[in-house]
Amino acid sequence: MKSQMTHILILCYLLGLAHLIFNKSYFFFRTSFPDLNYKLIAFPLNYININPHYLMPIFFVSAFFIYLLCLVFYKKKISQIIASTLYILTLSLLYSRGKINHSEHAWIAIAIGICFLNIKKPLSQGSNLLTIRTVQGVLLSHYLFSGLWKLRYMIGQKNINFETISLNHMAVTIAEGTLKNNLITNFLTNNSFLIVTGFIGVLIFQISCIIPILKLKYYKIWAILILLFHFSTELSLGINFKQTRLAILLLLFITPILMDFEKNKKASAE
Amino acid sequence: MTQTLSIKSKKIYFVLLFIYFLISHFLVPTTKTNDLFIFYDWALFSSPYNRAIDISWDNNTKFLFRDFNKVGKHKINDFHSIYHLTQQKNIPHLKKYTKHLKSFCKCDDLKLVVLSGQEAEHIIFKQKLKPIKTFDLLK
Repeated sequence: MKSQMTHILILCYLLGLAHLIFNKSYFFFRTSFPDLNYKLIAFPLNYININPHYLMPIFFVSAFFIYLLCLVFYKKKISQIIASTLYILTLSLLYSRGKINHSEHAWIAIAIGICFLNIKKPLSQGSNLLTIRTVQGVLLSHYLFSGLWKLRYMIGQKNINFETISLNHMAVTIAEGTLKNNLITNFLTNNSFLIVTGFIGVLIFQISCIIPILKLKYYKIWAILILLFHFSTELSLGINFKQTRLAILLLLFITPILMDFEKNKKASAE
Repeated sequence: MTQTLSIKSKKIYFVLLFIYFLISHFLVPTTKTNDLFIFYDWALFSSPYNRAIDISWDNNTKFLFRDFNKVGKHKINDFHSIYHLTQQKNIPHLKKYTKHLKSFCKCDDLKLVVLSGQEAEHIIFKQKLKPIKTFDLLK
């Protein structure tokens, strides 16, 4: 009874990972199945002497069934480890030749974190609390370091010109094919003060993420700020961070709610 | 959420974050290896590159990321990855995509071009910039 919330949390994390793996498998079969040659350079395949034409579909189909088994036996430590490894392996097969989508980073941290959660212990005790805090800290540090790298880039410039810097950032978004709407692109480039204001706002917000990393009680406020940040970047620049938003909901909303619930139950029992 | 870490746990928490920082921001970017299960390299996307770098064909008249970014995203496998490999000038990895890029551009010359200007000048304002360096992707 005392570790009921840990059960729910582990199941939530595993369901989140399952959603991503099934999504990736669907994406793979829908788009890349007829054209598998490029998969030859995916990292794990360099060391396995099997034709990727057979290996990749076999991997995805078997990953689907193995993951279903992991969900059924979610209480077993081995299931949690296999589920995490499967997720990381899926990413490595799909992305190791180029660059991973940034929205997957939070989930790699969750996948590793699951392996360290003890299902027999309450959520808010000892190693479980430390694991959750570390995963939350890693997630928040993504925003902090992103801001710090932006700051470092600015300091590295001979003349700090906010307009040029923010336009260069926007150019990256356009070159990657994220910003699709020509009207928004033209409007933003013609009113560059909007991009400059947005850039400074993002910079301040990202650096401010050091506050919840150091002071844990501010998690909820920053969770709302991060969600607002993602919604605004999606609306203005088309940058879609669906997976990260899901991770934030799980890590910074559902996890604290479960912890509070456990604490209240404990208090009422006493 | 009022549960707080003990002093010992807090120390471990900060040490773990520091180790993560070292791996993701120093080890991975320095080794520049893609053969790692940890793909953290935040410097890549959080700051733009000082020089405009693009993939061009037809004697530098057409540029993949300047002229075909919207179409390319849907027609080329791993467009996002190709963009960052281009910015890193990672020719060996890029060469593995040449077949797909060639079938997209239907051209005989495919080059990685480093241009004499900033990303915004090339991508947003579409200025004609002088190529400083070129790398043939078909050789």
